[in-house]
Amino acid sequence: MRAILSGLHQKKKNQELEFELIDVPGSLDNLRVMLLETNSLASVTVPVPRVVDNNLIRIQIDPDQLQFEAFGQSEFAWQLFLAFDTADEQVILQIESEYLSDRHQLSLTSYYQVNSDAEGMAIFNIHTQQPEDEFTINSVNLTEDALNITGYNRINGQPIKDQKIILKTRESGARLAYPTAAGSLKTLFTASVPLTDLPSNSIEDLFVQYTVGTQQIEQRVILARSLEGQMTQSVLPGGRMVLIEKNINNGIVIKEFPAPSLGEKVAALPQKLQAVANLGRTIQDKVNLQRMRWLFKSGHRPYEQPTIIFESFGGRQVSDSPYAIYRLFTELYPGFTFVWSIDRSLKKFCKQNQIPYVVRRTSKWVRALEKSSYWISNARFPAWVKKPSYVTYIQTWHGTPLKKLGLDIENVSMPGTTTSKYHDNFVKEANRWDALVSPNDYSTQIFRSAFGFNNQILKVGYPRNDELINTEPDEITALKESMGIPLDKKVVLYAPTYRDNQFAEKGKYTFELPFSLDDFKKQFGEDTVLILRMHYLIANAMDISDYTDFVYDFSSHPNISDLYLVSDMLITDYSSVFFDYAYLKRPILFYPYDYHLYKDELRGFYLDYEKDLPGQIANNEKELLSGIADGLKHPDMSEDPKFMKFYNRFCSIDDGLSSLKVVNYVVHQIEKNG
Amino acid sequence: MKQAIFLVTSLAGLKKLTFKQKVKSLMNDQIQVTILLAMIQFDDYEIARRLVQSIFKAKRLAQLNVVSLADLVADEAGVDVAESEQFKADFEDLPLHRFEATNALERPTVRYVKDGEIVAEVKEDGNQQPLLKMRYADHQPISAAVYEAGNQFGLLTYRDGKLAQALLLNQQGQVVYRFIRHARTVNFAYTMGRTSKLKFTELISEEDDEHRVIYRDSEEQSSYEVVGYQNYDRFDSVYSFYANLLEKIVPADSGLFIDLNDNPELTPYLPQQLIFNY
Repeated sequence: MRAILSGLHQKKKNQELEFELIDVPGSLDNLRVMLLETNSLASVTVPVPRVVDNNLIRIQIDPDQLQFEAFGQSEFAWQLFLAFDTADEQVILQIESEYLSDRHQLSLTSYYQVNSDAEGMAIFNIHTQQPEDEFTINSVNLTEDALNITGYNRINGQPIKDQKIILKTRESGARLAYPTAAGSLKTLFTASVPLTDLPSNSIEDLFVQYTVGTQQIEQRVILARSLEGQMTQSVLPGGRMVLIEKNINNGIVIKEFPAPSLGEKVAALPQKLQAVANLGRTIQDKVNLQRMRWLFKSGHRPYEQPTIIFESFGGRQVSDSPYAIYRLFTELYPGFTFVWSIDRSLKKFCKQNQIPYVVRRTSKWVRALEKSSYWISNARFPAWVKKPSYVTYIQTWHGTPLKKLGLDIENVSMPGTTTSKYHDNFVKEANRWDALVSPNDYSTQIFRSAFGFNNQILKVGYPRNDELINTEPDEITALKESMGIPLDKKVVLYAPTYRDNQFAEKGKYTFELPFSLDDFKKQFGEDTVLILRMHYLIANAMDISDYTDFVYDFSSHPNISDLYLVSDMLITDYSSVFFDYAYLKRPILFYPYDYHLYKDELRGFYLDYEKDLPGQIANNEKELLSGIADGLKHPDMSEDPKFMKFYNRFCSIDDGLSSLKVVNYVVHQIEKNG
Repeated sequence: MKQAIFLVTSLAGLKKLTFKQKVKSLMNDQIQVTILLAMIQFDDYEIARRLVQSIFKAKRLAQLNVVSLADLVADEAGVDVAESEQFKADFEDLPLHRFEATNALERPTVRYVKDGEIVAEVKEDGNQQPLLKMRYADHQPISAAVYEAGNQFGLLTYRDGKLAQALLLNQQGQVVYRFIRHARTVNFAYTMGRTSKLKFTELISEEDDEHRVIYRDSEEQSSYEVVGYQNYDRFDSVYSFYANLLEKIVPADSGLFIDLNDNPELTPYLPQQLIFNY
């Protein structure tokens, strides 16, 4: 028998859930639906009064019943089960669903949505503690002459009154209001703004205004997902243009400006030609891949001389733990042969720094990999890279895991793979690693469960962090000088995570920081500088030209450890950089400015974001500024109990000898294997 | 939630990692936690208390409230135990062998011998007060009396080596509840997705071709019929008894925590209620 969620209906304050039963046995006694919350394991059992037409059942639940104040939870995901007794059996079935319901707003700050999980099972999601000043819309599009917005017009089934869309012009603060109308669907409104109303050369932020009961509400309009699939560009008569963009807080921004001239279009041509060249390269890569597979299949014999291959982030960098190990090897055992596996783009860098290399995906590279006896890498090799039996493969991995990895991801939604394929590949690759470097017991446990890894764990700490422990103050001073950072000022490092939804199309948007640089300057500008470590896409789109006296962009600086060393405190959000930074025992401030949108994803974190972090969480700009002030006043965290609890859990291997331990491991293997 | 009540129906439940995690998490949030020991095998209470001692640190133990069914009925009205059902400790003059505890979970044990065979066994606390007196015949338990701080609070009788009846007594030694064990064959068929959080630790699961997790078996299970002597109330199932008890003792502002393994049997008696599982 199967039970499938087949309908969802509002019944006054309650929600009616309807289930279709397939292959119903003779009798269904003691029939009930059990809801089980996946995080807290809370449950509610609802008796089913009767079966309609032998295959339909309905229950009513009050969504308020499915939220509770315990375990600091504000997100609730309920699985559903049907339970009953037949004449001779006790039966429990998980209820299936392939249905994604509308977003049902329960209050100003909560809503629910029914969804289906990776296994096709029903999930009733309740999201609470959403910010009071945000209103999520459904779509925003430009046509030839109008800006069209759709969104929900109900709160818990009750229509919202006097709903208006407000456009606020940034410079002048002028407001334009547009009434909403009933849309093609009952619960959706539409609003239309004639593009001719937009002032020339203006930037507008979108707001919504409405009445609930007697309360007047005004909220920022946001879109949590990317703008993909929306029409975000419109060319107006008279050489004008309108664009829709999203700002860092997921707010909607409308820009009106002159369309590019012919000259500007010609100037953009090289970019287009580049796109054609890129396409050519993609095709060439595919052909080359076939050749690589063939080359790997031919038999090879190892070099007489021990040869070690290093690779970092799939050849995209010469960095991280493999680089730390490499440097020590060249110092202690210059008699061995070392080769870096790199992308073509790093050739110049390697030549300049006398780093021996082979370029990936060439026949020389295949030969080097297959004839070497040790591979040291911080990320996975492609599955088609054949590992000969005489190779010892040491995986350093590239960080203490924060976000769930491999087998621990229950629902893999990546193009071109399924959850089980992704899991199988992970286990297969992981068990090619002969040894895996781990920085702490927490990571060891995760590596075992997430990678299905069964071989040797080297719990020696991350080689890349040795320099954080071993660098002396005068070396930091020299580093600051070489980086052009004033010696008489304190340094705040901002290193946020890159969010996938930040860009619908690469490079099209100008990026704003989630806090005001003017406010930062006003409060700290005199004796503090800010250094930024952003994703390269963001760094390219950032305009900090007005702030060069105190903001430094080090997004493309090759060694992130240098940035840690020169800074007095770190500001981050969901990036795992804080695990490394903590070795310095300097203050860390967390600024997860879009936390409520990320909360769902935080389920996919190994740590409890609100409890386990080694620093304060700033929930808004005001708290951010006071947190920075506080951090700068307390530069040493070694007396802070919460920080030290974190330190002892994650950074306790702090002898600064991790590289040496890996080098010794390899040398021992070389001696053993002759 | 101002306080939390954990219903414990087995030693295995107490040993669950989710039990410890939930208790710790609630205590961190300054919520008063009460552990209610409700096993019918009354001699498990003493073991359970010591397990709790070993699970939590002293600081937490000081704030943790552990009560048993016996504590709850201590002041309830009852009826006198019939002469035939009273525990006969007529072995106490026999030759005995004393064994000291060798680890923290053990208790000093005294074994009484007649005609070369063990006929009774007494477990004691640190003050040589009895905790459990058990009589044997043909190497099988036949009856037992259970004590706390020297007071008898439970009488157990066995048939074919298995518990057959349990009498829960008040402070005056009168019976308040009688638990009568029935053995029944239970067939169960549970089917869920691999992502399901409904997991039964005491059952064995397998995965079918469609990657669904299946628990399917037929096993002999104990069920208890319960008779209450205050008003001669009768419960067909011990779960109905638990539900009735919980409705009386769990205040509105508290959270109820039960073993997920008990969920299918207990929650039909507590419809529409928010219940946490461990």
